Amino acid sequence: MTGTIVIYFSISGMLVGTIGMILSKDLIKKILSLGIVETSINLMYTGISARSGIIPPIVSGDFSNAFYADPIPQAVIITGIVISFALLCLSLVFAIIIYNRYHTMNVETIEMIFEREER
Amino acid sequence: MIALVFLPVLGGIICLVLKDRKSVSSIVAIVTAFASGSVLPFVIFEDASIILGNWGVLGIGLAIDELTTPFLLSTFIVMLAVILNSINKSYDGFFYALILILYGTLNSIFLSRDLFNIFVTVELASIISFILISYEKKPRQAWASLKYLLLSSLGLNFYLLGIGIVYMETGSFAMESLENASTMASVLIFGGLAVKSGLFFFSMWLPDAHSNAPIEVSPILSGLIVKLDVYLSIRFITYSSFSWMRDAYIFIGILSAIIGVIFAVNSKNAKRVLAYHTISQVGFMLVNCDKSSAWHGFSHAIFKTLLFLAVGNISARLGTKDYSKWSGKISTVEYTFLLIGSLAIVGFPMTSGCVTKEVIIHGACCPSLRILLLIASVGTAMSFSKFIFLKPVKTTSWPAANVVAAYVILSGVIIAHGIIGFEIYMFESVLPVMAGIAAYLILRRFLKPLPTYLERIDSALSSYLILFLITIRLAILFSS
Amino acid sequence: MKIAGIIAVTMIFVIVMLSFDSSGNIPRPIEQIVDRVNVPNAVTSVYLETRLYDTIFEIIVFSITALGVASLFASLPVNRDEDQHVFGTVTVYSGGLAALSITLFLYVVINGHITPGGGFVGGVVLATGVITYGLTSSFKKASVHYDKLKIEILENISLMIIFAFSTLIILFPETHSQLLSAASFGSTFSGGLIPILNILIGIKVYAGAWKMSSEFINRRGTL
Repeated sequence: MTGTIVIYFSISGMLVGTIGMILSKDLIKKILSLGIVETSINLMYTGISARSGIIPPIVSGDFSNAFYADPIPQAVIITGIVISFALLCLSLVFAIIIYNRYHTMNVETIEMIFEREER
Repeated sequence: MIALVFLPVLGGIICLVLKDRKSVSSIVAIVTAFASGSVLPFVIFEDASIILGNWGVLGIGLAIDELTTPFLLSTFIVMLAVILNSINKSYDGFFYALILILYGTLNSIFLSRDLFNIFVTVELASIISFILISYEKKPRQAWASLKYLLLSSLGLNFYLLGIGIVYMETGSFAMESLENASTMASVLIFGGLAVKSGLFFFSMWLPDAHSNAPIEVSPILSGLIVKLDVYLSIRFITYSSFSWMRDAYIFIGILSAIIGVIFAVNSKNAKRVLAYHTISQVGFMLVNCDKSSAWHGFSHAIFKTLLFLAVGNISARLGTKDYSKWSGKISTVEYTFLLIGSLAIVGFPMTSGCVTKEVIIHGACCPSLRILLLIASVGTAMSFSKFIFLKPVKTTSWPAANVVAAYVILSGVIIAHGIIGFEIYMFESVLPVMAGIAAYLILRRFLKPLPTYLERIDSALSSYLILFLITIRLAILFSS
Repeated sequence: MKIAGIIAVTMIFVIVMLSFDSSGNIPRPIEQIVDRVNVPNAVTSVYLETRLYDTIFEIIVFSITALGVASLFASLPVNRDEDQHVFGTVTVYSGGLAALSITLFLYVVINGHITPGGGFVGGVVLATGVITYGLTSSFKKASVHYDKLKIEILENISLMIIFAFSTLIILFPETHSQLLSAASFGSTFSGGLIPILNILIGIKVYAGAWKMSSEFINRRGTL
């Protein structure tokens, strides 16, 4: 039950993050919206692992009756967290490189400058 | 089999540790590339599969079969050519480390049979390509890779959602569990990977990223990173939950093949022409999603690498990417290799492009589709007439020896593949080539660059999501 | 175009929410994992045994990103502004916090296979403590240790050893599981190579996180 609720909430979180990525004009806000999407999907995996029980999967002796959480989604999503951290760092670095040259974070202005340079 | 992954990664880690010593790392890179290439003959001729650590359904499986072979071969040849071309330039150990780790990662994607492992390795390949695109630290490159980063990580989150649903339904991340998955999960997996595929409307980040990347990086992006989605589509389509994809790809593929060509014909920037042709060729590959597209992926990787390296070296020497200013400035040697690459991509007989493209056109499901594919190849010939009609200068100056070695390896593979696979009916491919050249001579004064409205980040994002929704509708339609 | 995109994404997620059911196949692999690996923390067993192949790539992602951030930042100007406004109480506490985080790091990485924790968590704990100290007391003082303890060399060595040990575990799974089942369940030394891998991953993650954040702090004020 807990798992299902968490899964539905995290999918709505993904929706919110994606809309934020489309609507915001500021580059930093776009990156943060991507962060919301990634956090939501990480939360969803916790939800998946909570379907079989919510006791942490650290076994003490006998495990016949206890409803342990499923360890596999929890373990794989550690990798997902590391990857989203790496992506966040890289995107901020790119944003800083762009800002240092053009002194703006507005996406439309940046793209206008680039299209003018192309000609 | 595991050596195919671990040897390049080990070489990459050695380069990473020794990143301050420039001369050592290029030697390490060449040695590692040859070592991993020498493993290939022992593994590609027979099907095999292992599960790491004997963990059964819990573990990660690796397997090799006939669909994997062309991709493994093209990865080796492209990486070797790129490393040869990059020697004696100002690249440090970090560049070679990235290239080698990317090599191991790509091999791992082609071998892996585990959905989550594919996510991790695809993300690693993307992260490496983000760093490589902006390796020269120009703001344009940073913008191209930031756009690529935002779109591709959003797409891979959809992929993660999809495999989460697969796990909920079947209780396993193994690829066999896709057999029992629902259509919703499969369409999410498709949509997540499509953003990296290079199909028109799905991945509009592509022209910017491919045309602004450094010389050695564009071939890797166009020849290998784009092939990830092609490979995974060909792999997934064999499972029953993906059966809707064959019909959907006929529409999406032909759309991409034709629109990509229209943009390419009108472009003035040589690297952008090649980037738009990547979009068009991916469309060709995915029209009939089977073994023939895997081999077209192989030949595309080879001739696109040759073209990108030749164009990149020429434009670095002359300082302009506008091909109309090259006439009368390029040497005969450069022109010859540019010509071989162009003939291969337009599908002239006796080249690899002809062999694989004819198989795809003859394997198309219905006559109207065949006519549309012929139109797209006329357009390809039209846009490459630009390179064919360049005038070389008669000089005896040769490029550096390592660059020539890279060119010779690539064109040798193109011609050998073209001669081995040649069959007599393929002479008909001369017709679209001639038609294309004639059309270019008539229409060339009307060509001017089309607007790049769709490549802005918001439009790219929106068009990706709209096409994704349309695909979901198509999938529900076809699977019922 | 934007409006159409928003409508499209809303419809996609509505279709997704309506179409899946979460009560499908619920696997219970924990018994099998604990039987063979013989350590209490099943997440660590999955992370460092059944899916070790993923973990290798994860470590590589982390190293590549740390070096990539450093190499991309190389051309940007460094902020040489040295005066740092500090607040007395915070300075005192942050020193203590850094010491505490070192202790917690050691506990978390050594006992990662028995209690909640592991290499990645430990590295992040240590990096947070040291960065907090640098931000609140003296960034210059905090960054001295990176050169003094030769963290960069330590990081490279731990990357090599992690790769070597992981290759060994993947190539010879039987030997390692014999090593694991010989020890008594739940003691600190029962983990075979697992605690060693955890310590090395902790060092690696700490070095990468510190490197990235110090690059960002060195270029403060540019954004």
